Amino acid sequence: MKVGLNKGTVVLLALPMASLACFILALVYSTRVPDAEDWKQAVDVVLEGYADGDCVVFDPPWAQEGAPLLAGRDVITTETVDWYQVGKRSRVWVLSSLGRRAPGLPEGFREIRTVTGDRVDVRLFEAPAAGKLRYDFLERIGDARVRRVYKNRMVRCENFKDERWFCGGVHRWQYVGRRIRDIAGAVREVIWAHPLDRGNKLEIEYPKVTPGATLVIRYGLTQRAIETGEGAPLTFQVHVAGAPVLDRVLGTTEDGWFEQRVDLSGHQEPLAVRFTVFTPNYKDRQLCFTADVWD
Amino acid sequence: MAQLPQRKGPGRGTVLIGAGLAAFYFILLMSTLDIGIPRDEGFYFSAGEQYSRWFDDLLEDPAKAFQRETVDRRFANNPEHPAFPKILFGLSWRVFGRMLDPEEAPYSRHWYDAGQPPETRLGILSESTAMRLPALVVSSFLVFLVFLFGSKFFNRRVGLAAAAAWMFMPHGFWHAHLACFDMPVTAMWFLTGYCFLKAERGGWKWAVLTGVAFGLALSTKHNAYFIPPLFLVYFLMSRWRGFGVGRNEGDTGIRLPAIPLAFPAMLVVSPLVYYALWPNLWYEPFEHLKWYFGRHANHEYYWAYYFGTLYTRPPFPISFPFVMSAITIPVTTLALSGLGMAVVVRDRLSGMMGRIVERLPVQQPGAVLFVGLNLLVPFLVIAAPSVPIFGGTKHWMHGLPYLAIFAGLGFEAFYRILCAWCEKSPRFGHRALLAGLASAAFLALPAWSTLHGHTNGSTYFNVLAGGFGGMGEHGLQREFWGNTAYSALDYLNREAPVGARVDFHDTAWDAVRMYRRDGLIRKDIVPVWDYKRADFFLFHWHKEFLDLEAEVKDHFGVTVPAYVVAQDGVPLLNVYRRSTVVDRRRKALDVIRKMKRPDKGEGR
Repeated sequence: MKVGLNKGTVVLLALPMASLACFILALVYSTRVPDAEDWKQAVDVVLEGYADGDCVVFDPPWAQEGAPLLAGRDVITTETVDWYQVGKRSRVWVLSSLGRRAPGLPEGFREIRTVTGDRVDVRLFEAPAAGKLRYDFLERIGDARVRRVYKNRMVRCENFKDERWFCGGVHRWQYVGRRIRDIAGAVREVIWAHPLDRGNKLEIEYPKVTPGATLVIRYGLTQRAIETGEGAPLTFQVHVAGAPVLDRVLGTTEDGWFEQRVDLSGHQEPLAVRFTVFTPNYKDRQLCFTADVWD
Repeated sequence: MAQLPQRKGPGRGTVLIGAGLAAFYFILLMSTLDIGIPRDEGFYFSAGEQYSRWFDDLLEDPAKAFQRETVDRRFANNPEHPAFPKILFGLSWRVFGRMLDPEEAPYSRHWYDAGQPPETRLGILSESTAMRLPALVVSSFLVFLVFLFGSKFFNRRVGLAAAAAWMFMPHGFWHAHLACFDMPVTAMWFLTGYCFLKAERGGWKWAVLTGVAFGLALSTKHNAYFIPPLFLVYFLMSRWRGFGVGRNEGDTGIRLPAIPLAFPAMLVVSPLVYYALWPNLWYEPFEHLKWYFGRHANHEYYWAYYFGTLYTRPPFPISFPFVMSAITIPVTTLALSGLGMAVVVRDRLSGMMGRIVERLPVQQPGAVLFVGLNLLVPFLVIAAPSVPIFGGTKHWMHGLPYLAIFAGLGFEAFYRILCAWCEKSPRFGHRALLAGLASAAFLALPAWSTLHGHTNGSTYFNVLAGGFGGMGEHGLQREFWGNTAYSALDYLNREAPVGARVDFHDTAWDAVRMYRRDGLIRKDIVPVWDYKRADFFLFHWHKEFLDLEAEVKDHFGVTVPAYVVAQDGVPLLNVYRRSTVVDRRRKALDVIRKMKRPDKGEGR
């Protein structure tokens, strides 16, 4: 057999070395996993400085083995972190593990404390817009006026129960109110606004919204709605003080958690904000939204 | 039907080494039985238990046992899969299982079919292990077969390396424990292939054995229906030179190559085996087969979480089986398999590779093509966008022993290069020592990957994906399916108050029932599948259930789980505990005591 030390031979002979390298890498992956003691040390740091308005997130977000030690605290345990919502808190504790050393927080979060552990690091951040939230539509769901608008009549939905507005008796999914849903890759607390059938309109009006600099509207269809892909495209409209600011048609499988920012700087007095939802076929059209006014 | 020249059977040494490997694997399996019961296995436990009652009928009244009413009743459970594996599970359970004594444990009656456990015979295994025993044996037999195949059609080194590669595939190792069909059908598929290839030179004996093996494969799972087309393609590709139009004594005729004897045997013997081993076919076989094919042709789609997208309906990604294999098989095995394939291809294309590697030790023409087709076809079936992908990796597992054969060929190529290099450069030491060190280097990663976290072996991801963490990092399926509750049983036994109600979520009742029978969960814990009535909820981490998890947290009034089952830091199951769990029995006793206590009110 003719064998020379050409490139191919060297590569082949390096295979066992590469296998060993992969083995070592696998061991490294395994040994950097925090154990109970690592989590306890990290959580002790959090509990010592935890204050009302704080929240705790994990980095990577799915590495949440230490979550049970944080019972009773505001802990984000979703698969991915919705930093917009986290930004409503005053401070954020980030527990980094599995080799993460630089949590990818959005711009504006300011690191104010760092405690490095063996396998879990603790970082405390101040939220960029702490104290600037003027009106949270989800928190103020009780302020909403909900009505169904048919061709020749209108029905007011005045049965408010468990943070949900029903038109008549309690219904499993026909209501407007708080709900937690998986939307666009994250579990979110939202205002559930399942439309009516045959193009009849569902209107949700907040008559006296505190004015501010910006209205941020976020909306989308649930994971379930995307999965089934049934029904028909849905229209979502928003009016501020009677003027249209958003008119969007969502396709049956249009996945996403969309955001619309509206400048409110010209408004000084409390505003009426109206959300309208309609579709020709309401099957599984699970629209959800949130809205906030920020300074 | 002319045949190639006959060859001798495997040597005694080969058989002994193969048996040793199989025994070693069996010991490994028996030492790692701390694996939970997935949903499907629970169903097969129940089916096996019910089927085993038919043998009571057979012993009591053979004529009645074969009556349609008896057959329909005893084999009514799980008719959408052939009965053969479940019959074996049930019989093994009856022979080896340690049943509860209804006198000592009267509460256990309703945990058994017909409200009564059968009599304990040998009683040397727990009930679940007894049910699993046939699958454990068949899985070990497959190791023997892989070694035999490699040794017979290539050489012993190939056989040994292939067997090692197969033994240490983490997902395969995990599935090898289960009383399910996936590893048995992998074994039967491989057995059929081995017999078929042997029959090319082995005459009628191997042809008939091919028929029997294919009958057993059909009787194990429907994947086996892809074997005949695969063999046909192999036949056409390996014998295409034999086809043609020829002239013979002035007549023009079509020239055909010799038809393998295995084909007629598969046509005649296999249906008989199939029919005999599936009682649902005994009466109205065609009606049942029609229903069976319809059931699987229109199978519901299961959720599959794949790189951040939850697939619920077609078209499914064509890449799924290829990419999932690339990130769930140890990279060493992948590298050796890739080397094996590359050497084969280049060896066939020209003598280019001959500069590096001598021709591979192929003992039978067509063997490499046969291995390649058997590897490829299971992948192609699942890659079809309309075929449900279910989320796991087991549905193309019957191709993977053939991947292991390629790994064996890769090792052989490496070994030959090493030897040649040692000859040329003697200062680098003894070639046996180097080969041994290289083998250890090749084996370390697959062996460690297989045994580390074997309880959650179906969640293994290799270093290309970032290890187990890859499932969290890349949005991949974590738990598959319902078996992780096993790892929370100790917590429940320790923490749940007396009479606590537990919603086991994705764990089937049949599995919980077996945990109870095996004494793995306290008997006072009440399983419910309604979180609104439950004190504990065992959330199995699946993307499709995240809404449910949020609802449970809201309903229980908690923000975090009370206990997390994780593998290398990735949560697989979260145990939620209602914020107001009460000890129901104690509460009831307090009420009774209060009622019995004499009134010591004022004035007395």
